[in-house]
Order: sequence, then C-alpha cells, then structure tokens
Amino acid sequence: MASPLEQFEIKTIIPIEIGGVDISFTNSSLMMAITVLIGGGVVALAASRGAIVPGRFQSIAEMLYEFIAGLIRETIGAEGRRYFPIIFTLFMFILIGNMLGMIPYSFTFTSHIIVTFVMAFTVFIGVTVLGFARHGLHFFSFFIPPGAPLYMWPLLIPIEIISYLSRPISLSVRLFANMLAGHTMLKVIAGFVFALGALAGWLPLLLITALTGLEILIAFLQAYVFAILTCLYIKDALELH
Amino acid sequence: MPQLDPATYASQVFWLVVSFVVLALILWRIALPRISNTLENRQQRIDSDIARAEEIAAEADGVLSAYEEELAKARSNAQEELHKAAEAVMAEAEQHYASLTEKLAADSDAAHQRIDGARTEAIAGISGMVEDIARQAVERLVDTSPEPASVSSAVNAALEGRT
Repeated sequence: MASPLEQFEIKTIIPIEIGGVDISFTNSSLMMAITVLIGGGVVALAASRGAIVPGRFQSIAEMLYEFIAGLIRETIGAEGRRYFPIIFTLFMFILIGNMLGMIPYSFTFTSHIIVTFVMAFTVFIGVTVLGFARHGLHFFSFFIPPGAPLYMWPLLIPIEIISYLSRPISLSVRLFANMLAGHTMLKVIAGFVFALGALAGWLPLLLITALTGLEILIAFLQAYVFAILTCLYIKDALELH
Repeated sequence: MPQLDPATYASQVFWLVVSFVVLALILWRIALPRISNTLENRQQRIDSDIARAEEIAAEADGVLSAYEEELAKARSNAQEELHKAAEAVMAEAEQHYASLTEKLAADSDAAHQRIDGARTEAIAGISGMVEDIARQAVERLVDTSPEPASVSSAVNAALEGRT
C-alpha cells in the first residue's frame, strides 16, 4: 500500500527551467492557479451584478467581505481599513487552498512548509517594515515589556525578541502542521478501511466520515487563524503596546 | 517526506508569489471595490427607504387626524341638521293643527248657520201651512173666508209665543 505521505508528492506537469532554476508548473502550481480562478473569478463575478438583493453567490462574496471587514475592525480598528485587501487575499488564498485540498485526489499546497513559511515570513517582514516606518527606532521599545522593573530587562528583552522572531515560524508551522497531520490521518484511517475489509472496514469508514467534517472545519479555522494573527501583528506594529 | 525536498522549493515559491499577486490584484482592483460599492448602495437604499417610510407614516398620521376631525365635524353637523329637521317637522305639525282647528271651527260655524237658516225656513214653512190650516178651519167653522192678513198675523203671534 502507498505511504500516507505520497499525497504530498510534488509532481511536475509542465517542466520549466529558467537560469538553471527549476520552476516547473506542478500539481501544487495547478491548485494555486485554481485557487486564483475560484477566489478571484468567482468573487469578482459574484460581485459584478451588484444587486440590491443579492443572489446565492453574491451573498457568499458579501459574507466573506463582511466577515474579514469585521475581523479587521475588531482587531486593528478603523485604521485597519488600509490592510483589508491584503488580509482578505491571504484569507481567501489559504481558505480556498485548504478547501480544495479536501477534495479526494487533489493536492493541498498549504501542507508544504515552504509555502506557509514564505507567506508567514512575508507577513513578518511586512509588519516589521510597517513598525519601523511608523515609529522609527522607537519601534525597539516594543521589546521592553511595559511596567517591567529595570533589573528585569536583561532577562525580558531577549525573551521578547525571541518571541518576536519566532512569529513567522509559529505562524507557518501551525498551518502546515495542521494540514499535514489532518491529511495524513485521513489517509492512514482510509488505509484501515481497506485492511479490515468488508467485515470491519465500515468502522474506520464512519470515523473517516466524521474526521472529514472536522478537517473541513480545520481548513476554515486555520485560514481564519492566519488572518487574525496577521491582523494582531499589524496592530502591534501600529500601536507597539 | 516530500515537504523537505529543497529541489521543489523554487518552483513552489515562484508559483506561490505569482498566483498570490494575481489573486491580490484581482481582489484589490476588481472584486473588493465592487462588493463595497454594492454594500454602500444597499445601505444608502435602506437608509433612504427608511426615511421615506417615516415620511409616509407621518403623512398617514396627518391624514388620520384630518379624517377624525372631519368625522367629528360631520357628526356635529348631522346632529344639528337632525335637530333642525325635527323642529321644522314640529312647527309644520303645529301649523297644520292650527289650520285644521280653524277650518273645523269655520265648518262648524257654517253648519250652525245652515241649521239656523233651515230652522227659520222650516218655521216660515210651518207658518204658511198653519195659515192655510187656520183659514180652512175658519171657513169650515164660520163659513167665511177670513182676511189672509189677519190670519197670518194671528198665526205669527201664536208661533212667536211658542218659539
């Protein structure tokens, strides 16, 4: 039987090589392209009618819009409106990527650490640049916990710096590990269905059905967590404490 | 574990950046402005509808109070009209009664006069008859025809004594 990790294999569809670097169009790239198609195309089309009384698709687009708008309003405040497009894109990209991964035989590009890490690291760099642009060198005061006595600084400042630097790692590993673990678990239990056969195979089948529901919830939740943490980081950069 | 194979990293990062930027541009430039426009339009529509509804409600209140006023006025008018009509009917009835009484009185007077006339006529008739009877009686008794003048005067004297 195939390994449960086989589903994460990157398979080249169109080999492309520029300057000795392999940038082939792979199954991962295909799912990203479909994500763009669904996320951009459907949302743009659904919103294009602009009906006063929305139809089904328009309702979904508006619900997503108001969901993210509400999230930003609650975490960053009125100032967060400027970051709405980028957070909405992040959320949609991860959400659709996760959901597409739930389709059997498809591929989950968010289950690859390099993808989640690039996204998290970009957020990290962007937020840091934003912090410096907003506060200049005063941004370093972020690493001094407010109200801490002076003699605690040598201990607290390294802790704060480490915690700040570990943000992109925790952000990327959280998403990657959730996707990896969920899909691996589904695959392993699916293997049990075949191993136990017609006699007792329906037991893991029931379990896998329930777990698929859970995985869909996690697919949504991780996109939400990624978006809300990005919001919180932006808020930190804007207000320091 | 395929995730730890650095040979695929360049391709993944390249396509991630490309697709993410494309998605961001589509959403940022096309989709999100459309949605926010729609939402704004809807909010405006709702606000204006609510304002119009309030206006109409106020108008309806005005109409209702005007109607009630009109109704009260009409009711009092009707009351007055009814009163007037009743008075007119009463006056007419009284008038009828009075004229009827008058006519009855006149009729009864006329009747009285007629009765009186008839009586005097009857009496006059009687005197003629009585004169004839008296003359014939006198002729039979004394065999002479008396003077009609003296007979009538005697009869008149006798009748006058009766009445």
